[in-house]
Amino acid sequence: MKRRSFFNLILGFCTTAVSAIVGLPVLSVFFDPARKQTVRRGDKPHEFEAVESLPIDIPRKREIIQKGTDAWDRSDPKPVGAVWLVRRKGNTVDAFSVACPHLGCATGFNSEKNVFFCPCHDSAFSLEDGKTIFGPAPRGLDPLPVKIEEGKILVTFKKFIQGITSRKEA
Amino acid sequence: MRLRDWLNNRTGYRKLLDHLLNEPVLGGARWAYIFGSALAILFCIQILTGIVLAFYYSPSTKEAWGSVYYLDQEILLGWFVRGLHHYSSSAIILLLVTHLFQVFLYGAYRPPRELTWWSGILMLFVTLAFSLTGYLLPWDQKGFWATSVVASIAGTFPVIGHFLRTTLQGGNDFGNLTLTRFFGFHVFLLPAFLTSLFLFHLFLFRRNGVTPHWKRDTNELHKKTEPFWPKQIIYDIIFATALVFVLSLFVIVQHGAPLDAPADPSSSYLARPEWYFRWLFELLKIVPGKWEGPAVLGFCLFTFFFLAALPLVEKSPVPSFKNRRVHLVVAFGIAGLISWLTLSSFIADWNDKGVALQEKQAQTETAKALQLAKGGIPPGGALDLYLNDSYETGKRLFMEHCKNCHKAGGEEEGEGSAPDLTNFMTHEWVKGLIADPTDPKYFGKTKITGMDPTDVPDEDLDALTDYVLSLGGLAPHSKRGETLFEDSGCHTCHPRGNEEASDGPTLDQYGSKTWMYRVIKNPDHPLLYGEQNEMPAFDGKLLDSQIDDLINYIFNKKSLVVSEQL
Ligand code: HEM
Ligand code: FES
Repeated sequence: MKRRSFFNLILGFCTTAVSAIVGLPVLSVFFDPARKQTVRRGDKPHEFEAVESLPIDIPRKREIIQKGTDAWDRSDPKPVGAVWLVRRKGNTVDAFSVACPHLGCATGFNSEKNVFFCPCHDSAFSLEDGKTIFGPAPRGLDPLPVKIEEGKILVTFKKFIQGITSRKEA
Repeated sequence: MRLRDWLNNRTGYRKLLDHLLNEPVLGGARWAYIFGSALAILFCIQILTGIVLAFYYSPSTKEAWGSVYYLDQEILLGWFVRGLHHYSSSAIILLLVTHLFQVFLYGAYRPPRELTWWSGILMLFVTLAFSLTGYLLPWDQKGFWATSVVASIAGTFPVIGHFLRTTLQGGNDFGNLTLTRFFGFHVFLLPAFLTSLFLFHLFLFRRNGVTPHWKRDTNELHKKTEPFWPKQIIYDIIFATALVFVLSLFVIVQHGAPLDAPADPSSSYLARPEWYFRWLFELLKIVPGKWEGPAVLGFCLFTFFFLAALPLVEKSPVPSFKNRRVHLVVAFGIAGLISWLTLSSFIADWNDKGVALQEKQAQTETAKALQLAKGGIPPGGALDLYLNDSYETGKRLFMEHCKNCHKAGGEEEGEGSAPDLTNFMTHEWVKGLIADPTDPKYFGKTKITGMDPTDVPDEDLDALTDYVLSLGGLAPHSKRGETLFEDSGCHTCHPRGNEEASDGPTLDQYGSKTWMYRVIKNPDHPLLYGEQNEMPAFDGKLLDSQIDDLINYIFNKKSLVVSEQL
């Protein structure tokens, strides 16, 4: 072996070893949260008022107040999002996430035009089924599972990935 | 002198200083060259103010808002330092764009200055990254909502979107790790990156010198060449000083940087980015659904590649405007488009009533949060300010237990099967009740009957009202009212003490807290509404402190009626 290439070998070995020993753990610490459920919320359904106390076909916004953990932090119940409740004829209830499926702004309800409306990029959603009727939102409002027990409305809250046509939980 | 000699012998600083100050400026000092040094000064201001901000700032969702609040409101001149940091970041963007245009127009990107140009472009992006990460740090409504939108945008990138988003925000949702991460970027990584780029940029600039206007001929340039010190440095200093003056004046006029109410994911805050990202925001709005991703990505990539490729493709012998028509058109096209998008975004908001209303609501929330924060941030974090606030607790309790039947003139939307409590126990409310208890606003929709409308002249009604209110200490005693009360026979049904067996509810301490306690705890008590009552009794269901909060809410509910259409 030539002297030169021997030195190069040593140099190469040392740099690779040191970079690997320090660099790989650093990369791991940097990227690990990307594949973790860092923020966890309970999946117990939330109880709201009795069905009869909602008006028919006029949406009501309700806060979701929930316990959860956020990395190291276990918190008492706190607001984590909001839902639209719409009572239909025949005493069924539809629930939609308030988060706009476009990029996540909070939607509102426009009572003149009778549509859900997002003030960020002007998406509008149908009152009947939450479908997108105007604007950039790639899908309709995200429906949430509703149950009615003893006349009370129970909604399971979920968050979805925004900006895509398919509905995937975040 | 001896000390300086001593130092010079060991460091050789004179040579360095000489080198720095006497470096020739080709063609002499020019105002056109002032922007770079002004940027350096502003960046130093960011570092200095940033470091003291970091002495107070605490990167966690429970503490960030409170720590910024504390610095802003409780530390002498804290608001000024934070204001400088905030507005200086805007000034940096403005200056960067100006600087970029100056060197572009003079053709300073041309060989041998490609690397200077490229490092400059990189610095523009690093600065935008600074602004983006800094904006979230206070964890207030503005920063939270604007930055969530950005994270969502990152998530829409083809293929890598999801990974990009979760890496950026440090997990599946915004939370503590988003803040620690953004803090790490903003305070360690980006400053290190920008400083290195800047030193590289400066080194190259010193090596290759300025690029004078192409029309000036070589002879003239060489004749007029002079060292940096004094003239160019004086120009630079004058401009930078003026800039700092204007900036601090601006900070004072604005009373520092805005701090919104604490981030609340359940609220409907109107998300708007900082002004220099408005064009992007508007672009997202005007491009139809499925073209949005490609359009936004395409536009950004095009701009980036246009800037980056400029030194490689623009090879005319002289960078005169005539020789660079296409490049000028593209550059001004991009700048024009961005300005137009920015303007139309602001104009759209100015013309929107809903936006104004939501902004007003946000201001009310902000003022409230700042007021509550004076008592300290609760252990559960800044959002608990509201939970611990009697008014907010009362509101929540009202929403939960009362609003299905009662209205109270606030955000609740009762069905109104029970008396409407809007303006409860005001003169107007009680007068209306006495005038016609069967009105649907009062007991009209309940099973409570037995009292007919009171048909007396208006002044008498006023006097009666005053008298009834005086029983609970809500109005001064009215002698006339008392006489009327007895003459009209009200007392035959309504006792004014606690004697048993009466037809109507007692008016003992009517409208007072004691009376409210009774009504809320046991409305079916024989002295109150007895068998006609339909309201649930809350005795044992609500704590006294909760009833206090409810009463507080009913008497103080917001006069600000929140529009349904938001
Ligand atoms: C080009 C450089 C920089 C820009 C454009 C920039 C921009 C910003 C912005 C827009 C904010 C939010 C301010 C607000 O609205 O409250 C912020 C906050 C902050 N920055 Fe910077 N920054 C820069 C450099 C630095 C440096 C070098 C440091 C520290 C070494 C730093 C430390 C902080 C801290 C601790 C906060 C949080 C406190 C607060 O938000 O009031 N910044 N920055
Ligand atoms: S976030 Fe709702 S339209 Fe863009």
